[in-house]
Amino acid sequence: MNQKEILQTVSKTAIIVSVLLAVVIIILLTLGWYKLYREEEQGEFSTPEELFKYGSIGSETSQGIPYWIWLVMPKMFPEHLPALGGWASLGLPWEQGKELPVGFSKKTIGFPRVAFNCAFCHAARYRLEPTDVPTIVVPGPSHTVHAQGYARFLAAAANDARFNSDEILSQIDRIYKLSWLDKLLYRFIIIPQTKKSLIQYGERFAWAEQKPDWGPGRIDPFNPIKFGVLQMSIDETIGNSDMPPIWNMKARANHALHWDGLNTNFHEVVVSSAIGDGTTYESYPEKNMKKIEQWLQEVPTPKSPFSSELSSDSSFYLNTDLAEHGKTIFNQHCASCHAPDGEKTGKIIPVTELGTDRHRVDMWTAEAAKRYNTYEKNHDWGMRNFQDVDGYVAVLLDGIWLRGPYLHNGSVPTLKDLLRKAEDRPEKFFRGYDLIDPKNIGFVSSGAMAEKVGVLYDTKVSGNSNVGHNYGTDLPEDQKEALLEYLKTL
Amino acid sequence: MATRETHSSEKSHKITLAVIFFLSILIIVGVLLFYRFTKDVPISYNDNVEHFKYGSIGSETSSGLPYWIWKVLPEMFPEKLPGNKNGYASFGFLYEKDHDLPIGVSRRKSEGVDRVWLNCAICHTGTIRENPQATPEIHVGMPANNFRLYEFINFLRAVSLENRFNPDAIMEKIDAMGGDLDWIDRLLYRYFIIDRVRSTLFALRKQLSFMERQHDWGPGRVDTFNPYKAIQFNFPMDKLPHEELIGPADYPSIFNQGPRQGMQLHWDGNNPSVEERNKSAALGAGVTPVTIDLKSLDRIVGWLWNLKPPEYPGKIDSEKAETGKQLYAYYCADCHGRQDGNQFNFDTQQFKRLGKVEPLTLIRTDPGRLNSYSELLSVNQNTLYSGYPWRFNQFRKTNGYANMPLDGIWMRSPYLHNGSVPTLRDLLNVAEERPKVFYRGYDVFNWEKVGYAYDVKEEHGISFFEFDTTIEGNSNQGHDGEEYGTALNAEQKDAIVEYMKTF
Repeated sequence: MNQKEILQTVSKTAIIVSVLLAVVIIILLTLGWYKLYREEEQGEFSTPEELFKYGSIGSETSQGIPYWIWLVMPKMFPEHLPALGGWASLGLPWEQGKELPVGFSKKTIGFPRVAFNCAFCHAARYRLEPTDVPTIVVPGPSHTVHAQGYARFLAAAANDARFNSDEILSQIDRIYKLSWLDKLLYRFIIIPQTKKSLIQYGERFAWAEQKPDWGPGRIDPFNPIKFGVLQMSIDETIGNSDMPPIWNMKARANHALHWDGLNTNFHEVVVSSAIGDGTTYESYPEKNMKKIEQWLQEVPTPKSPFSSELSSDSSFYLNTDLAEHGKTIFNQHCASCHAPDGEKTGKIIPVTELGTDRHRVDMWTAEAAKRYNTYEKNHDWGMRNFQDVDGYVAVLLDGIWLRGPYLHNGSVPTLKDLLRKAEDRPEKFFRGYDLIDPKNIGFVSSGAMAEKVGVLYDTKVSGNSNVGHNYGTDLPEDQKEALLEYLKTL
Repeated sequence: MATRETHSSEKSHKITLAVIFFLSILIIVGVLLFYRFTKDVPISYNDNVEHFKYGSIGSETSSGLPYWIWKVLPEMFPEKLPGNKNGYASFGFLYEKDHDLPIGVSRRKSEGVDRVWLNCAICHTGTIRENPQATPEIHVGMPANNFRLYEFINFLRAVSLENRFNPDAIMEKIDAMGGDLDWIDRLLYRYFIIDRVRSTLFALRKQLSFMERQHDWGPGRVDTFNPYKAIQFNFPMDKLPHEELIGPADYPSIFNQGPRQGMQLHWDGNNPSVEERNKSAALGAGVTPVTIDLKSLDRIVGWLWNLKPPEYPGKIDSEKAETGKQLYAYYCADCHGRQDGNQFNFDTQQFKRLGKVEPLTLIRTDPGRLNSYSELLSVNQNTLYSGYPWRFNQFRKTNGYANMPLDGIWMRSPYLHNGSVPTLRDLLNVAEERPKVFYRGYDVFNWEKVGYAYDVKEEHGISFFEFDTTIEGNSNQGHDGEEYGTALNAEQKDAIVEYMKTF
């Protein structure tokens, strides 16, 4: 063999080796992509309502928790949940037979992941009788859901020493047979990465621990955006407010949106809410979100359970004569702000005039509005309509029987209480029980069950004040009664 | 130079040979070990009845006791056995001739260990005696009237605390009992299995500590859904609302499963699917969604589909039964179906309330079992068998108790869901006239009132279970009033009972 031949042999070997190596690397990369990043469509949903309840809004990539980990977490860390009952202990509405609670989507991005969607905050649960199975109404207000409890649980579990590959895989082993390759991926990549992400998630939310609790049915919707997406500095503001219903949006065309009217464009509100939930430009499911937007315009307000056709000894019997009388009182005292054709309906009423708790208004600033209007992370989202405001929107009252507790911060448990002077409204009550209070209208907020299921709401805590909206509070009792009867029909 | 080379090549040759030799041995040993630790050998039987009684449904792998630990426990801790201290029989396990394990306990070798644990027959096989002198007759498919699950679980919880539960003492006992473990098994037992079993039982002790706040379920009863909450979902049971805590109920019979499809099953009617109910019951027996032996279970399900209850062995006064039939048709059939000739008639078109839930406000029986099953639990059950096509989707919370078909009702005493009324004849009396305290667990038949003899406190040193209807969960109220036949006269009631003997 001369030198040339040797060189030829060597280079031949080198070529073969590098080709083989390249093939192996390509196979590994493809496999890695397939097992960790390939995106599978969820499959068609039979109705827009199903899509709203269980469809992905594109937040799995950034917020998704691996499904099998998500499934064993409440079993492994029950002490970090607010009560007994697994995920359901967070007050999540969960339909019979469904794999996930309402407001959660499952989507495969490499591996199945679970994330929340719009319905997490917009699914109401109610019962008419204590022994009833709850009825779930989307897109109603999620007044039972502990959004902060969910975030706290994830962080606490991830920080727990038992959140490790050995323990989690041994729990998964009890419910599902993963392939050996999946087990390897879970052991060395997916579980450690999830732990890290959830710990960071907890750190990103740590500012909230300095502020009053949200409690069930409430959320501080824009501080997470300010301190996250908009990269603003942590401040002293408190934005705690009720999750609102978002049905029948076409009746709200041209209304200022969100409690304080910080935006006037429904499409922008939908997109920005999805961004808040973790969607990205790459993952934003344009087609499905369009369907949801359209459906929200059309979806009717749920029918009131009060009816004149029930027997007169039923607590849900509606006295139509009384309601008729109530309507005239409503027209006289409430309609200008709350009737569909009211001159101020859908407009912002200055907080100084309303006198209600002003924390929510102060939370949103001109700087925040400016930043969101120019928010462009890799993409011009086209936000133009965020504005700084100084009041609360006079809202339409359709389905008001299902929207307790009342006022933007949920500080007044029932409509009857709202018609009382502030000093006569309950100073403390329990939120989170889903039994309708047919007499006072709202949810049952005192008594043994309300205490057991609910969480104490103290109006003396910052952001929780129940003062203001002193309208109709001077009416004589019989007129209040008639007005309440009318409100039952909305 | 040359010699050295030859030498070294010879040497390397030898080394190569040695390496190949050792590698081959290693591979052979590896394959053998792999085979030993991965093969799955369930015990199953060709005969359906034998398979039901002794065949494996897959509960052993994750819940079972290694065979020799099962064997030595009652020998090592006899002081913890109830009653006559006669091994597992003292918990009401039924032993047959030529069988090493009792009915309802099966054996399976998996993950290299021979283990035993429960199958369906443990809760659905019982005995009846004609008279105190007769030999007990074993019937498959009837409620396990003897089985004291509460005490059995507490026995396992109690031994976990014992420091005699250690490798030395247990190996010594196994040897003394003629254990046939080979050397690999011995190593496994000594250095791995015994400690692991003890810590598993120790964890069980803690997980089921709520049982200390319950009343003894007694023979023939189980609290189905509270252990379910703890074992399947690890609910923190110290936070359980008190009204959910006391939910004991009788083991049901499992005859004629086919005609029950679509009826509301379980005492509170929480599921209308026979398949789901079966897979749920299998979880209760100790399988996991991963270890469940579906082939084996399917065989049992197929066999139960049309399993008929045995005929009433005593005399029936046909004239009296005919009178009873008319009364039964008026008072009972709409909710419970009826016997037509030698067939039970399950027609839900004809009997409108059959298989449906009767609201508690109407039936007014003890609320314990109903309350023990919560809406929270039902939605959590939606995640069971996740990832498999048979994931549960039929469980729901109800507000009462389901109207059961009464096939083979003569052998299903005591009556009502909580077994609080000892005989059929007593059930036709108003609640105030039903026995307030009686004894359960005695298998001699009461031919007059139909049910078991219930006033016998003990026999041959075995004490029976004192059932006090004033204790929470044991109420014998409800299912009474004019529409339930309790206002009929004694003769009419006797006639109905006579007719029900034909079921």
